[in-house]
Amino acid sequence: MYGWTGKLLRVDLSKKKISVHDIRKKWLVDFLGSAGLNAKILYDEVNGEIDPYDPENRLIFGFGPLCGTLAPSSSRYTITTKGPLSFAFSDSNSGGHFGPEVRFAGYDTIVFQGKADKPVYLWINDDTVELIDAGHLWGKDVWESEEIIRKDLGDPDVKVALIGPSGENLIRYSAVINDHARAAGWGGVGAVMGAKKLKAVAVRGTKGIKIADPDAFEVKCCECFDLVAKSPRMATVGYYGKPWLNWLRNEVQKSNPVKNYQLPRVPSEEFSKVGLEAFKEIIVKWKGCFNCPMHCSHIVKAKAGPFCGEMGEGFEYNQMIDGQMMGIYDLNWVVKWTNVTNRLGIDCDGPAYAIAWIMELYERGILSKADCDGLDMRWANQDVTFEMLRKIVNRDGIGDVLAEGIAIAAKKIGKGSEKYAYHIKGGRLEIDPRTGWGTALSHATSTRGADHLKGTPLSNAYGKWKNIPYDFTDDSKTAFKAEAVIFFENLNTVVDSLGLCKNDTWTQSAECPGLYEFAQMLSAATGVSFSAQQLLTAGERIYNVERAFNSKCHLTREDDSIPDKFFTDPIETKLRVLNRKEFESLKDTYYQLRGWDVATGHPTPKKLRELGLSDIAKGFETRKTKNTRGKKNA
Amino acid sequence: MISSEKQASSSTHKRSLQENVKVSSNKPNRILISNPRACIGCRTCELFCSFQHYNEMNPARALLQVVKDEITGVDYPVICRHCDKPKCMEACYFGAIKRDTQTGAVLIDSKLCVGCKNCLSSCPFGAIRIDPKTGGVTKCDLCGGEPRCAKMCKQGAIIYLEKNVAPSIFAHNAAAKPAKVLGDAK
Repeated sequence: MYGWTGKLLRVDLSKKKISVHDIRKKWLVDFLGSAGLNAKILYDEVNGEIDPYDPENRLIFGFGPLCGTLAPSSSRYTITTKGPLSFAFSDSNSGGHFGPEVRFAGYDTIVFQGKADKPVYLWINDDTVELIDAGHLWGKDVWESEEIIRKDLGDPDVKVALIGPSGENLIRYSAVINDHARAAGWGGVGAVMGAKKLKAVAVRGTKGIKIADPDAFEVKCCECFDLVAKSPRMATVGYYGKPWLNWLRNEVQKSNPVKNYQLPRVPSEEFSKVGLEAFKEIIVKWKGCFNCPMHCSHIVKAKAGPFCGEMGEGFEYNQMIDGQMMGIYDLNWVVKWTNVTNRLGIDCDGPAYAIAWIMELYERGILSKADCDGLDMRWANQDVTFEMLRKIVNRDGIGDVLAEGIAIAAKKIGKGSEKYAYHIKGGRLEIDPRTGWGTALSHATSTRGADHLKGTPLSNAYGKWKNIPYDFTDDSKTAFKAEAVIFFENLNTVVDSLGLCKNDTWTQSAECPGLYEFAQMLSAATGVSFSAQQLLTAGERIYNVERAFNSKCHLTREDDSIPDKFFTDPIETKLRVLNRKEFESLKDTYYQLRGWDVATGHPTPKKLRELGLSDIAKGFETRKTKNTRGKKNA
Repeated sequence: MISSEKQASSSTHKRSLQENVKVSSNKPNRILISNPRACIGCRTCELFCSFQHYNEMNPARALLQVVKDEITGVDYPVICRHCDKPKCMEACYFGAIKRDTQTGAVLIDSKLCVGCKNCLSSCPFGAIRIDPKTGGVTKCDLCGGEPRCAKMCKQGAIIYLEKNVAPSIFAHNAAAKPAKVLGDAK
């Protein structure tokens, strides 16, 4: 087989049984691979009623047909599971060098099921796959464990994706970390891995990937490299990396999460401390993921303060807003926070948003110092941040409550704290929905909870595709917003399913490679002819499967909501504040265009059949559409 | 037994060195340089190298390697420097390592190679590779005079330059920094 390796590795941790299966060609063509195939497997194999930590839940690692190939930024892999934050569909995506290595070993998908009786890790050495005891690694942090695994296996070039103490202790927002600083952080995939007592996946691949038409593929990939090199994003994200987004959101879009959304953005007089000039000061060098010309990552070194000399990678927009959420405008702290969260194997945003929320409750007097285990939780108190993080990871005192994520923690704490816990389907809000209608709608409808990478229009690609004048920055009107969000949801699903990075594709810039280029690259790689429209339809198909799984988990239209605050408190953006009536009517339009049921938000059997998903459609005809999710998690 | 083997080898080795001298006066004058300070560790070079040589994407078969140290953040492109006095050539008992007259590349003649791996341990730069498919030793061949790695590296971490131009370029790059400081001072 060309492009795809066509092999699925199934690991039953309960029975300690490892088997290799051929993946049906039709599935590969219909669902492309990676995120798409993962969604299909999850839908087919996982019951919507089970607890995410149930052994019957699946943890699926997917590697797309372009992952590990000449295509620019071909480093991404996706982990899909029933997530412990949303209690529904959850997937998370990471770059680095781990994904390509699995492809070189000859696998497209790894499915973990069951639960090991004691900690184990999986060692894949091409065709030799075995489960190895990980008792000596349990409790050790990510970096230490990675080094021990490499030493144990006697190969310094082994690539490892693993969890830290956070995943072991089932913190609901635990990450899977690979290459020290690359995290699949969204939705708590690390916690599911911890529940399965799977410490790590170590891999060494030497089999390589074969291409159907090498010459055509090479020409196309080199053209894509040129497109990326010429795109305006090279001067921004290519130079500054993601910290550029912090500047963009704060200074241009005028919306940035600060102090648990109390402030609409970092005050201008403070912004220089976290601005681009300040960031430039701490850059040591650029870093790139596998085959990436964009290199948005950096090695950074703290230059002052108590963390002076701390050096690490993976400094992103996320970690900057983590600080800003707690009122900390200090890049040196961010360097330390990045390293500590990476070592613990925790999604950096999870504890940050939880701590910021606690700080707000403390300020408002809802929680006292005694409630916070004697910690002085005032804004910008750097000392308590790491202590609180330690408490969360060790499930110590109030940390045990916060470890459940703000949605569940708010129910436990009560006392009106729910009002300040901003989340959608359990997922933290990373971008202010008041930025515009596209942002608001896509955050509400995203299948994995509040998220800007599922469908937020972040480029003019929709206009390019439809050949119409379209400016994504003009987000204050509802016109074309539902259409654009649907387009981006389908497009982003395609990018994830191919194994590419969204950073240098249409997702982020219309000048970068898009559907036309993907279709040409994929056709040359696999020998199966794809058109751009076919890819977009595959994206739609996959998105419908994701949505269908959520329906199976009893999520409905009411779960596609946005916290009340964003309907009441205006900020400086053009849109200022969301209007409830307009929002609901935008949702109506969205469901109608999607071909879904407007009242429930469930995919309709008609739509599913149209997309060739008749097996899923059958189940939907008999499905009850009652929402029992709220009761279940209470 | 051992001494006679040694003798035989040293004579072969001498012969190959003489060949070498003759050839290098023929001066293919471009050199492949590794510049770790510019490397971002994306391994595009490894990927394209394997594609160039075997039509497949398989960095394990690449004829160079980027060694990554995640703790210090160092990415080091380990490439063959095609030395003027190659240690691998000295170490080969069988004269299997020769210099290409056209490109100046130090090459392994697979017909003469017995697979003793002497070259592997003798290269101070760790540039000799073992092909996981064939099990035999391989090494960089400069892609017949147009090294793909250098062409693909947009960071300038692997560069292929004229011998007399290379020092000038490095000199100018180094001078750019103080020049900027002076400019700022004005």
